[in-house]
Amino acid sequence: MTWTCIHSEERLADYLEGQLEAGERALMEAHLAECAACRGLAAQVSWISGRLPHLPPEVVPSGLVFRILEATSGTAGQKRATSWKTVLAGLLSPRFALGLGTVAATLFILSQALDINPRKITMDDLNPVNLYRAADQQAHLTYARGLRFVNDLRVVYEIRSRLEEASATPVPEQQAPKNAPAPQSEQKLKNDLLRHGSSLTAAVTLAGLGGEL
Amino acid sequence: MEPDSQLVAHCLRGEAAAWEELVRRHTRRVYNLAYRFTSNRQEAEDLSQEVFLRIYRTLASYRAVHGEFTTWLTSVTRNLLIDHYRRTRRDRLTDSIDEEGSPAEHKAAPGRRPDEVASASELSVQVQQALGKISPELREAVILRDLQGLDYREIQQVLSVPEGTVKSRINRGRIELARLLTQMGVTGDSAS
Ligand SMILES: [Zn+2]
Repeated sequence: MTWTCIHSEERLADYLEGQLEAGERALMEAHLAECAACRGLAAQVSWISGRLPHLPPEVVPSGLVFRILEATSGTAGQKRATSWKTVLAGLLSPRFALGLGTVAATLFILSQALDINPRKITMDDLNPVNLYRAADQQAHLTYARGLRFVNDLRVVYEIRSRLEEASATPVPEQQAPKNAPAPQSEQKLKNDLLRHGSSLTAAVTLAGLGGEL
Repeated sequence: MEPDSQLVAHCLRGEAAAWEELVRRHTRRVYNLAYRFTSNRQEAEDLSQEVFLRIYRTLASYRAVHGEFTTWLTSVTRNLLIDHYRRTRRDRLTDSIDEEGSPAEHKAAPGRRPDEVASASELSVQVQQALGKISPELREAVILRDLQGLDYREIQQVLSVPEGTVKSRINRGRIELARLLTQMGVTGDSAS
């Protein structure tokens, strides 16, 4: 048989790993001796496959393990309790606004499971601790429902962790100008809270209506 | 160190600490595989979360007799990567027309004199650029073998293809990678 460049390429890994039987190896080496292109390629492949296993691994982004735990078992977040002031502050972040639909859906599911009227929902109803208590008090809560509840609670925890992240990073646009008096910026924050509070209520109401359709 | 299969058993008994240990132990592997495949840190992060969410939900279906936990984890990761690849294919095609085929995250490497020594991290970036240009089939084979260190048998399990196919994809993947790096002026001569 004639040993071509195509054969050399096909058998390159085996050749470099010493896996070719004597006959093929002789043909390969004869080809490499007279073909500069294949020789160059073999050298380059040999070099890069020797380097690849020793490349430094990418650094895992900080907080990724934490976020994974929060999204799965939820165990990483249990030690901290969050007040609804912090949560509402987080509502101002654009990142959260995108997730409002999901939140609305979750709130709806939660309200169904716990017999909370979505139109009369209060801030306390949304506190994870109270959600837990309410679930406890529901003597007729079935196992399946409980499972669904835990899953939804996980979403709540995930939301909380994102909100905490958002509130931990100061957003420059939200800071008052240097010369502006402090009370004014406080007033602005209150207004923002009110505005977002009402849009949250709207979302919850929408979710409630959606469920009735 | 407790073996993974032991940790899985503890997880299934509801021990949160065991799950946390499992996540801590394997996040780097999952994230690196996702990053090497997508060339995008944010996507790699999102995908890593997706992987562990799926693992968490299906942990009860893992049986040690079917292979190492890492092999199973790698299969789940790989399947999600392929799903993600198919899902975002259309967007990427549009992007690559705009950017003339260069991955969004990396600017072209500055030209180097042949006698300059390539540092490992510099080479890592160049390899990433080249990986982004080869077909996903060849890319995943090279990543699993040369960057993640799986053996042929494990890759066979992860990809569900015969051993001959695994070998040929790794071989072709390395050759394409080598050629792209040569075109970029990154060769063994310049780094030795
Ligand atoms: Zn040749």
